[in-house]
Amino acid sequence: MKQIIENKLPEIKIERFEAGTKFATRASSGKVIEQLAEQLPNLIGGSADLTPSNKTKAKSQTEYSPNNRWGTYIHYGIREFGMAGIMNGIALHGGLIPYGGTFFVFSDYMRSAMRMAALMGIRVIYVLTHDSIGLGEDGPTHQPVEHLASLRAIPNLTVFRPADANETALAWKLALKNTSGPSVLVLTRQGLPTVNRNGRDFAKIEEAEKGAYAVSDDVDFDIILMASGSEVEIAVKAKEMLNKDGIEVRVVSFLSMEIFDNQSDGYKDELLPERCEKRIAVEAASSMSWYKYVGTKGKVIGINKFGASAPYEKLYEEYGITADTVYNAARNMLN
Amino acid sequence: MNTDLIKKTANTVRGLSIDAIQKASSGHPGLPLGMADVTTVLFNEHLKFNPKNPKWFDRDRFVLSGGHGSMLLYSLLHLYGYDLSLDDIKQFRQWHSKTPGHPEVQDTDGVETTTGPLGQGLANAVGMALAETILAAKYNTDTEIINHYTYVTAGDGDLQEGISHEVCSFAGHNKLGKLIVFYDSNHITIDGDTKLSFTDDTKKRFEAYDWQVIEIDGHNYNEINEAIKKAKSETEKPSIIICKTTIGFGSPNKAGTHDVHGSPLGEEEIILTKENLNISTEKFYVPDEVYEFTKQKIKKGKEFEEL
Ligand SMILES: Cc1ncc(C[n+]2csc(CCOP(=O)(O)OP(=O)(O)O)c2C)c(N)n1
Repeated sequence: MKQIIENKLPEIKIERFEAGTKFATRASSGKVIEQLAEQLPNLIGGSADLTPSNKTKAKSQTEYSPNNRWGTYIHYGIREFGMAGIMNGIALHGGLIPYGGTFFVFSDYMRSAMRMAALMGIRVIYVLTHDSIGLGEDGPTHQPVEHLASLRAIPNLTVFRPADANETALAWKLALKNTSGPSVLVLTRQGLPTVNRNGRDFAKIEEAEKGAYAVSDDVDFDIILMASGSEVEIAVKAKEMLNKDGIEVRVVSFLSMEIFDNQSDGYKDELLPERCEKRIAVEAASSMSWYKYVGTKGKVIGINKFGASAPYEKLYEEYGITADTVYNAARNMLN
Repeated sequence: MNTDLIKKTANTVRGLSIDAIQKASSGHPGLPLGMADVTTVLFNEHLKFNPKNPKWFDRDRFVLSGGHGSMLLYSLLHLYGYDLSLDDIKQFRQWHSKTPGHPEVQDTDGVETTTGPLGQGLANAVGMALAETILAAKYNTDTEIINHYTYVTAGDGDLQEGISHEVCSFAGHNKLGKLIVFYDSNHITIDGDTKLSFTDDTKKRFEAYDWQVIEIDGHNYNEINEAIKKAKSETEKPSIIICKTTIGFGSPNKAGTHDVHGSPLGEEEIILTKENLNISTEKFYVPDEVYEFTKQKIKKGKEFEEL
């Protein structure tokens, strides 16, 4: 009880995800929540009626109700703004750590309460799934476009968009450790490969604690490809294509722009050295967020119009969020 | 209940509020003038808090959902012993003061949440009341360590906002019996009378959410006190106390009109208001008997903690 009132977080243990598996980041988040719920009795989960989609409920959590006051999972009902305002109240009350889920596109409904959480500097965690055109058939009403840029613009709000299962686990850890502001986990519906971080091809997961890091890197890189979440896989594929042409490439995964922005100038210069002005960012969202990283000579491959209803592979192709597009842009830039 | 001293305290709250707003040349006097009676009875007779240890975990929570009425809260916090001096009140709305335009949780002891965007304070209060039930169920095993109420004042604006429908429906469904809402029913918003845009039957609305609904005259101390008692004893349902109030109560020329919602009364009207309320016209005046009176409540703070 004392520990809980004093807001002390115990050491959290989350199992590493094995390389070669493939999970939607909402699914890896679900697996992380299973483990967190066992270790953190004061974690209060919930969703605005999208529990199976958001994968927010751990098996060990029982449903809160007037007859089960010790339940640690809240069915908020289809009340996104209400949920976010209530979570602020839970966090302010003290003693409990609230997280709640809905589709990323409905962050608009919650936005004002998220802003208040950021202003107040309180720990609230939003689990926002179905994060881009990657959700596919439901179409443009459900496909976020401007939401990443819009949330990244809120001061003191940390936005995570993990690229694989281990980045997802890390994002959860960092969100829980952040007691002075809210965090958003932006998660996919579609599966993403868990990269092999044991060899030399991909960076260790600890690197990601700096917000952005060279997830896949060549020593004498001539070009930097940047991406977040599901587009990191695309950037890595483009790198493989460029490598075949003998071009050396650095791929930077942006788990969280806010955390990266808080790093030392030394680290920032090391990751994005001035000498390398050839930079391409790719993200299935409004391109606004990226200009400060690509610089005036760089290019952003984003989506600046509404999505559409179709299988997601088709959408990625039609909207040009592909390794081919990145490869071609890189070749053009290097010529 | 000593209604005579309650009245003097409430009128002191009024005086401090209108003086601070006048000095700042901006602010919202209507709400503090209208809700001073309700909140003074609450603070003096019911609210469980220790101003010398404002973060004491088992305190009652008090939320002013209409954050524009911040001077009401600051005046009460000053009189009830929080770390908020008269000088702080004179710094209302100034750079780096403890008394910003709207209450900010990180700036001022005794402020439980930042309010201003209407409706959200109410949502926060629902979250606090919910948290209380979870923690009480978890930790009140051998001894009772968690047992407190969440009080919130909400105006027409708060209840018009969509979020109030979401969270009050949620609170009713979950039987958050220790949530008590004071509805400042003064039928005035910025544009004018609520007839312009808000003619719901609030009583029926909250009955439909399965809340206990109590209707009172928000300027009658006995009715206020009895209503709070009744609300506290109903632990199966949240309660809403619909307080019929007059916005800008006490101001002879502006009370009951939208002119008093969001601009200083003006020097002349302040004098007329104070004369009307039968209090000193001296600026930022707190009678000794009021400090003596609130001191008795302040002293209880430590006792509450030891209970
Ligand atoms: C979400 C939101 N919309 C608009 C406002 C601007 N605003 C401040 S007070 C107010 C009117 C509130 O009316 P009421 O709750 O009746 O307060 P009273 O007039 O009694 O002081 C408005 C529209 C706001 N603070 N928040």
